[in-house]
Amino acid sequence: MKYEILIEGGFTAIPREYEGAIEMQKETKRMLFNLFEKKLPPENQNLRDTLQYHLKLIDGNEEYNACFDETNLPLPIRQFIATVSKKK
Amino acid sequence: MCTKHYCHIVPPYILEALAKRGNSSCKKALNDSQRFLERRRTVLNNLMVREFEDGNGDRFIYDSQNKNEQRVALVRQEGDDPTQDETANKAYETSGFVRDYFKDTFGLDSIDGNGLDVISNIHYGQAYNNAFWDGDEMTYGDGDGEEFTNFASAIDVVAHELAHGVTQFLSNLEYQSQPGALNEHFSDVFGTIIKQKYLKQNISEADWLIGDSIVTEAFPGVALRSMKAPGTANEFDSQPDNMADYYTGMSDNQGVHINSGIPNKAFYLSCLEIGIDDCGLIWFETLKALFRTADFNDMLDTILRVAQELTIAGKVSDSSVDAITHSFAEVGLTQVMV
Repeated sequence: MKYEILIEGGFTAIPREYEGAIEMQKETKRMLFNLFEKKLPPENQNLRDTLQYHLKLIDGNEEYNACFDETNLPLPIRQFIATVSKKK
Repeated sequence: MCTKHYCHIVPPYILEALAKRGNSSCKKALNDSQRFLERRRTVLNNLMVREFEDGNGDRFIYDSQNKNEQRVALVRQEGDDPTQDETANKAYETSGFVRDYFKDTFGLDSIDGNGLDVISNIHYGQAYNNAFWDGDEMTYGDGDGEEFTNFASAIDVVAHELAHGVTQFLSNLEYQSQPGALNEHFSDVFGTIIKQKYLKQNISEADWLIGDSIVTEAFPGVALRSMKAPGTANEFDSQPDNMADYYTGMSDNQGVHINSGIPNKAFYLSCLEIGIDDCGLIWFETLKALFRTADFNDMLDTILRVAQELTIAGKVSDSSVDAITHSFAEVGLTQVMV
C-alpha cells in the first residue's frame, strides 16, 4: 500500500511530509480505510496551533483521502503515522 | 444606534460594516455568533459540551503521561508546593507569570476577563513537537529531543498559547487568511513582550525571537520566528516582512503563521520608536476593538484610531500615531481612504 502524509500547522509551522509504501495485512488495511470513511465529530473552531494531518492511502485502484486535526485523529491512524515517520 | 437585541437579527455583513466603524455592540454580536453556532451544532450532534466554568484564574497542571489525552492526572494546582516534575513546575510558574502580566498591566481577570482557570496539560503524546490552545486550555508536548525540546518550559511559547485564549475572548479573530495571521501576530506580540518582561530585558537587549529556547543545536536555525527579521529564523522560515512578498497559497490555513511576519515587523519597528510598554497598551486596546473578520487594513485603521485615543488621554507617547503609521508603511501597509 502506498501512502502520502502531510502534517502542517502547529506552533512550529514547519510542515512534515512522508511518502512511500508499506506492507500491511488485509485486515489492518481495511480497519484503516474504515476509519477514513467514518463520520468525524464536529470541528472545534477554537483550536489554535494544532497540527493538521492530511493523508492519502492508495491500495491498487482504491484511493482514500482524509484530513484530521489533533482532536479527531483516531489512535490507529496516529500509530500508523508514527510507524511510517520512523521509516524515514 | 445598534442595541444588543437589534444586533442579533442583523446579517453578519452589516454587523461587520458597523464593527469597522467602531460599534462595540455589533462587534460583540459578530464575534459571539461563531461561538453560538458551534455550541448549537455540538448540541444538535448530541455531544457533551464542555461549558466554561466559573473560576478564580487558578492554575491547574495536568500530566498527560505521554498519552494523546488531556486532564489525565492533576499534578499541581494553585497554591500547591512544587512537585518533583520540573516541567510541571515550569508550566505552573510561566502560566502564572503570563496571567499576572495581563492582570497587572491591563486589568484583565485571567484569559477571558472573567476569572477562567488556567489549565495546562504537559507531557502530551510521545515525542510530540507541538503546543496548542484548544478553546479553553493549553497542551504541550515534550519535543522529540532531536530538533525540539520541552515546549512547556519556554515563556514565549506559554505566553503565545495563552494569548490565543485572550484573543478568542476579546476579538475572536477567525483562524484563516488575514484574520488568522492577525491572530498569530497578537500571540507573537504578547509572547515577545512577556518574554522580555520575564527575562528583565529592554528592547535593545532582547533577541526578538520566538521559540529560541525549544530548538536544539541540531535544528537548522536559531528559533521558529523572528519579529525583528521575519524569514531569517531557520531554513524553513518563509515569513515575509513586507506586503510585496505576501503569501497567497492555501497551506497553513492560508498562511496564518507565514503572513503574520508582516505585522510582526511593524510591531518591532513601532517598539523602536515609542517603546514596548506603549506598544503593548496600544496593541492590547486594538485587540479589544478588532472583530472576527478583521483584515490587515482593518487592523491599521483600528490601531491608528486607538493610538489617537490613547494619545489624547495622555496614556501613550505623543508620537505614537506617527510612529505606527511609519512602521506599517515600512512593511507596505498604508491606510485606504474610502
